[in-house]
Amino acid sequence: MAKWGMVIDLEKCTGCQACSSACQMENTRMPGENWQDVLFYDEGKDLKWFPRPCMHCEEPSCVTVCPTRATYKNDDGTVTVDWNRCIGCKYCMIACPYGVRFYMDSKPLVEPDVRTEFPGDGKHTWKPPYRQPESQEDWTHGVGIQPAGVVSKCTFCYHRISQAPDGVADLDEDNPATKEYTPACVRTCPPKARYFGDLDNPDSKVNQLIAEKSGTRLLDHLGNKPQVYYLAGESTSIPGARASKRGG
Amino acid sequence: MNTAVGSKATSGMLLPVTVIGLLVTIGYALSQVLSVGHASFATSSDGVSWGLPVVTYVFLSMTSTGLALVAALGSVFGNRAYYPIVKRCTWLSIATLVGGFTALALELGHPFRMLWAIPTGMQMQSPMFWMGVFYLIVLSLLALKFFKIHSGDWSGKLLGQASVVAEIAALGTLGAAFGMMAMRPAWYGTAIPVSFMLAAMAAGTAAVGFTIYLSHGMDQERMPTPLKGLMQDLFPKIFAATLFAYLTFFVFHNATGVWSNAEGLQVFEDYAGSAFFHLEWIGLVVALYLMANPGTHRQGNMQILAAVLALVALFIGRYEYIVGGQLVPLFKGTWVPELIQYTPSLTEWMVTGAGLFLALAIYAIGDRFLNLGDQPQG
Repeated sequence: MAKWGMVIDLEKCTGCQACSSACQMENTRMPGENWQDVLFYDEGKDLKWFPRPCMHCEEPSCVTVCPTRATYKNDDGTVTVDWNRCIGCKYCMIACPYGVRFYMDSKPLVEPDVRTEFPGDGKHTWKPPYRQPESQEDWTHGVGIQPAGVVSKCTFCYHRISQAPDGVADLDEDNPATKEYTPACVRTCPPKARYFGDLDNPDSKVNQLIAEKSGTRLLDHLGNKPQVYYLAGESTSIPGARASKRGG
Repeated sequence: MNTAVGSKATSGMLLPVTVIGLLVTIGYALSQVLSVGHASFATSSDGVSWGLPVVTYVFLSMTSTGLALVAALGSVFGNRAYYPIVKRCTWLSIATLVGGFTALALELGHPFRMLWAIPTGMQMQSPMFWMGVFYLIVLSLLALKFFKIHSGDWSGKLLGQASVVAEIAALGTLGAAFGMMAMRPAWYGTAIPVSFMLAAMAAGTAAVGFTIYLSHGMDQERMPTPLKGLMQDLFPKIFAATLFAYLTFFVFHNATGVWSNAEGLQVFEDYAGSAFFHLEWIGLVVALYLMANPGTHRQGNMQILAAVLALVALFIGRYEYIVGGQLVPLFKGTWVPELIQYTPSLTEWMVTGAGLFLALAIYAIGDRFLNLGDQPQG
């Protein structure tokens, strides 16, 4: 079984947010609730950006705090939410150091409230004109239109990667054999700043990049051990813990 | 034969007032939660996840533990001077816990799912799992203890001891649920569960003091002699001691937070400049002064004032700790303010009201029908 991980090359990333849009469309996210977000920072006189999916940590604090095991780690290393078990206590949102989780019943992050504009049909909390096919819905892995009263997060496009053939080292949009199994954000990235592959396979591209370009994990001191690695190079940097700075 | 409480004048009004308050608050909160969902709360995915309803739950649970520990001074540790308030404390402990659970239930996305998902999940690494286990044990033991006392059986020291252990485990775990969160620096700390204990003792003492006066027309003279003796001697002493212990933690906790430059602790500076902070420390200091000063600590009006000040201050303290710990944004980018703004919505205030009124209504039922002033004979 693969242990899926992602590498994001910050020197290639242009901050175009195509990954966010692709994720929105692929996973029927509500506006503003970006499982895959791009954060912007003021650094010196420059505006910098930083793409941030769920880190699918090796030691995920969201999993250990969840009182019902609704959030759990799959055999392939991904962390997903079982919407049939989630009680909406939001402890996982508290415990995630990366702020990548979303509660369905909150006030809308972007007006107008799309749940009112595209009302649901009972099973679904809303029904937008663009949406993931119902055949792909998998509530046990948090895939589909998010139901009421539960928390959601990036699944690494579990509905895609879980169908990948056994033994593949990388899921690459340029490879016709793996294209359909590649996460939407990776597949759509115009400058090809994202790589997705098996962290347990020494021959995978992701492992090669991590080794050759000093792959760095975000907030590594907290011990969550993300499975998303960043390549900062010489011209970019991993942002500090928080956007806010003491004293303004 | 048991000794019944004297006056029922105030408690006669207490029940209808609290029931009306409960119906109004829970009616409004439920109507909003069922129609709008938690979008009627001021909490959000890019801001504060645990808002005023969680504060209410923690405050009431903490008070419940404090009450049970005060009761244990008589029923477990054998200080007979506390006997006049053991039954009242035990009932009030049940009432506040049920009020807290209600506030929490109104906050959860799927409260009924919790009933099967937690036992079948068995996630023993989660502080919240153990919190549920311990509070279930606590509630069961409290109910059993009250039933025995109400039946006139004041024996059962083992039951009392088990109850004390369960109470400490439950509240300690509740504190740990926050204190273990290293990713939230303003919450993190190994001493947090102990600080919850200190606050609980002060809150429990204040709560029983206030409700005793409620049940006796706000007048010490209407109390039976043993109870009056307690209120004039041990009550102010234990109240002052618990306030002093909590104040010591309060001073050093806030001083440490303000002094530190560590990321995530900026909220302490913000809090130290707020009106609520000043209300909190003034409330605690004045309450301590009133209970420590020989000229005031026996006076009924001063005890009532001290109890109210302490309860308000301790509620503010829970609010500032729980909400404040979430105000420094995580990874949210430049457009997020230095500190997140959070003002509870009307629905959240109604949830708080529902928890408090339910606790008081249950207390009032006990006060009217269950002779909470009973004492063992001999």
